[in-house]
Amino acid sequence: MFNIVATNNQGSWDKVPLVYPFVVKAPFYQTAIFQISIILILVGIIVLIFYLRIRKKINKMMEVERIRQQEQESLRKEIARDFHDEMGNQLTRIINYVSLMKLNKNGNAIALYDKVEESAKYLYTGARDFIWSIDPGNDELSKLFLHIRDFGEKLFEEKGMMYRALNSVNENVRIPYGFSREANLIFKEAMTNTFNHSGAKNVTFTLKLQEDAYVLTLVDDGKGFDKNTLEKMNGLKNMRTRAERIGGILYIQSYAGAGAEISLLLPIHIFKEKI
Amino acid sequence: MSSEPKKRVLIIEDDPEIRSSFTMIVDSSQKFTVVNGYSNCEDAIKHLHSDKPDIVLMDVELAGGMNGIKGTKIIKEKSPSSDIIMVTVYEDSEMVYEALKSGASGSWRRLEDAPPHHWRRARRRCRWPATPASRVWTGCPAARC
Repeated sequence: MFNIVATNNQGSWDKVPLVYPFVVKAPFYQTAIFQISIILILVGIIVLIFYLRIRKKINKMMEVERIRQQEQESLRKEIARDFHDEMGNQLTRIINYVSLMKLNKNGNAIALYDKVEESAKYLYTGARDFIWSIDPGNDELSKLFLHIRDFGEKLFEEKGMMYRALNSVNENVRIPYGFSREANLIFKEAMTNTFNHSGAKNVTFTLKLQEDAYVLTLVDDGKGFDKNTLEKMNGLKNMRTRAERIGGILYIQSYAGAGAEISLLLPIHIFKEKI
Repeated sequence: MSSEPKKRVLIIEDDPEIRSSFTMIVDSSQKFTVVNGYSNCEDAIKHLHSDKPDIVLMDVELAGGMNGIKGTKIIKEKSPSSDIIMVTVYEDSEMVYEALKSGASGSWRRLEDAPPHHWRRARRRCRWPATPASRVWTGCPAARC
């Protein structure tokens, strides 16, 4: 209420004040509804932020889990495929040879027996190598070196070739799954070629760190080979494919009469990326 | 002895030992004869006109070069009457299914199914399936012959 008492110039005041009723409206930001709404909105935003953050975390965890499961699945598929590759062809050979023996009862069975024996032996060593390569304990460079070295020792001993193996990498280097298997098969192939075709007297197998790559090398002083002819052969293609699969680089150097050198370069950066 | 002419079989297999042993086994049959064997699809396609195969035994997992699926598609285009049998060691191969979609007539799991000289015996158990997926037979690569 607004009361007004006025006076005139003689000093006489009104006996009854004039009364003006009025209402002062509060600004919107001072209203209870506004304030409650603001509080509710703030609480809502905070809850929403928490909810979104938790949901993001859950999504991230689910994504990580999904990727992990996918990786596990692809690893299992890879192992299964490797196993089939290793065993399938040899078993098919054996089955076919036995089928032929049954079909040609009076034929030349001895040659087929020999082939069955050869395939069975290959299958045995292949299975042993495969089991060795899927053991995570063997995903280490020095163990890979020892495994290949041992294969060479047994092989070259048969022909009395002088065989030396030297590892100049002293540190323990973890290698990703699949490296052991591919590198092992590359050098088994290379050593078998040296054994069968090179006529070498001295063979050397080494592992060393060269700038930014680990290098496995097989050198012989045999008769060498014409690289152009060899490029067309399946064995070399397989070796190159295996090297590519693990991100390695295969170098082959040979001249007729001047021995041969086969190196597998494993750049350090691929170890870091894949492990 | 059958009076029918022998079915002409073409073998595409990259393992030379397996290729030659398959050849000997198929040749020992009175109903089939191997007209040629190749280690890759490219060479087989080049000689398709002269080989004129009734049946092609195609290795699914050919190393390097053209794979069995693409090879199947091209052979089927050039020689639609040839039946292509995908040969595999895998029990359940997506590649086989893809090859069947590309026109292959069936698949043969070489470690489990009857070897080629038993095809005639296996024949009776088979029928021609309607969909590619159901064409993954066991024991009957030459069901239509």
